[in-house]
Amino acid sequence: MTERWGDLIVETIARLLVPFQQLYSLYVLAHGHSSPGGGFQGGCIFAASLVLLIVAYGTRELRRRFPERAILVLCALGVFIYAAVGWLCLFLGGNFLDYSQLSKLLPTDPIMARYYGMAAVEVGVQITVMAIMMAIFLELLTGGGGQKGCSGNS
Amino acid sequence: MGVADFPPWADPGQPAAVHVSPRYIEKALEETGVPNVVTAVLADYRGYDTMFETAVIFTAGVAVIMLLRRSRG
Repeated sequence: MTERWGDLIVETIARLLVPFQQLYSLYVLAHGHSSPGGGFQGGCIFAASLVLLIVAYGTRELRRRFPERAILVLCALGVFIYAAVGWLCLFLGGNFLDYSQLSKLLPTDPIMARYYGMAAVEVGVQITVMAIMMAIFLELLTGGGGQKGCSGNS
Repeated sequence: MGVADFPPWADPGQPAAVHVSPRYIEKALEETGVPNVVTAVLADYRGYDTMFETAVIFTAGVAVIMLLRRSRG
């Protein structure tokens, strides 16, 4: 299953669809402030686009462009971004995750600083959800083979 | 049955709906600048909760990786 299909239709559809899917995921993330959406949903859509890439081109191709170490770093990076925004607000003199304090750094008033603070933490959520989805999917697909990919027993 | 004493389903006058919900609905836009009340509650009023939701997803993913990963060598 992890070998490449070599199917022209699947590869062409994936090549056409994946950019729009990833763009749509970023739209869901960015538009989460005024419509249903946000980091959790956007991250899942982004991970789905990478799953489609795996279906079309196999795990080796994805591993080459997106190594395992990068996925694990991204998993932690998202949580780190969220917590870092919280600590930044704390160091600027407010409570933990009190985004109004970000107006001391950003050229906006405290109300819009809350808006942008929320956008920042949603980006963190998106990165973590996307990377965790990919990590779990790849581990299940390769049977825990990790970096080597699936070699031999499937 | 004790369940019969519960407030009616989706009743706007039940205690859970008149305590803090009106405050969020009325003040979310002017306090946070976000037109979506769900996002305002999720990421601002309950931001601490959402941070640990993200941490839970991270922990679950790391646990799955540790369980499934074959030992090297």
